[in-house]
Amino acid sequence: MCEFCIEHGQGTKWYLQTKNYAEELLNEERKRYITDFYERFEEMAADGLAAMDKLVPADLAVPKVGRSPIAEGMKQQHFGQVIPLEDVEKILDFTTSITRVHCVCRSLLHGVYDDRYCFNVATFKSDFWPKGVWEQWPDYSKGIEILTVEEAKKEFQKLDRNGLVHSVWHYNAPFIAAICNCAPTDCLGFRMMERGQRPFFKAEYVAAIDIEQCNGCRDCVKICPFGAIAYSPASQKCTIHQLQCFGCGLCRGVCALDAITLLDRNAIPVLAKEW
Amino acid sequence: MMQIEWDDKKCTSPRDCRKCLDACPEGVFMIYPRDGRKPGKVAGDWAIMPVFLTQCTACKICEEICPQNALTVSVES
Repeated sequence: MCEFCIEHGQGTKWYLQTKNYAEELLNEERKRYITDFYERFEEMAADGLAAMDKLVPADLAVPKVGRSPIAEGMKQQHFGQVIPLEDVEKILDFTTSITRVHCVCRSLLHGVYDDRYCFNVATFKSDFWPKGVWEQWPDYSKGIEILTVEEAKKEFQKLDRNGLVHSVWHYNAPFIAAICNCAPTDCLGFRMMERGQRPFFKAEYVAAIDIEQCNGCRDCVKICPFGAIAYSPASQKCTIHQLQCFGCGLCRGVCALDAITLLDRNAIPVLAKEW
Repeated sequence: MMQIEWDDKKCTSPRDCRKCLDACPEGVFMIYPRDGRKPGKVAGDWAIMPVFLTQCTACKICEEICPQNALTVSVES
């Protein structure tokens, strides 16, 4: 279990606990935090990255969660975890309001305002996200879309096939209200890894290939956003490097032979400590 | 560490162009509204900032692709 599962989930997956989505948690202080977060997103990103330059020495090789005060501080403010498609669907099943919006990271890094990869979810009827947050800024307001659970599920299936990593995010722990769909090049959270920081946990899973079934087609190698899968010309099979695997499950989705399954990370002694 | 100078007199419409943002192999740049984001106001005065400078390799692809020659990369000794 990741530390959020222990702290906010009583030893079960914290993001499947409806209490972490509860309306009571969306108090005035959190509303202000969320509004401020998006109003000053670019400014905070620039300040944060400048601070990381000062903090991080040359040893950026293996980004660890919470290795620095910046990622550690984000555990309280805005932190996430990779989740596979089936867990996204479990969350959507207890969700009543879904607001799809364009992605603030992609606007910051690529200047595009029509990439709608972010989903704000709520387990209560609320127009806080569309009206209280996004509508007030004209740059963002064009991208707002209200989806039903079924519509959202279809969109997530498409995103999965297109190689986007799903992740849940909280706004001041433990209030969860967003599911992102990230590409490593376009996501500020992923990009922080280049500076030895990682503001999200790996998934509670890790992918494994049944080599009896693998025909070496390499579709999994192509889709893996973490560079965790290699093809061996000697064995003519693909293998997943477990320590590099984030458990997102994208490889499983493209495997035509269903040779890939997700294992419980917590059942594998070394990986159970690898977040 | 490298230095990248962005000349805002030459680069007049970064939000429409975006070539440096997309071309940089290391994703060094970000784009942001210098006049801030305020309720009801369309953000403007867009600026390019080399925010992942530690990743810059000084390959100068950004210099070459910029139609306005607004970027200058220099290697700091």
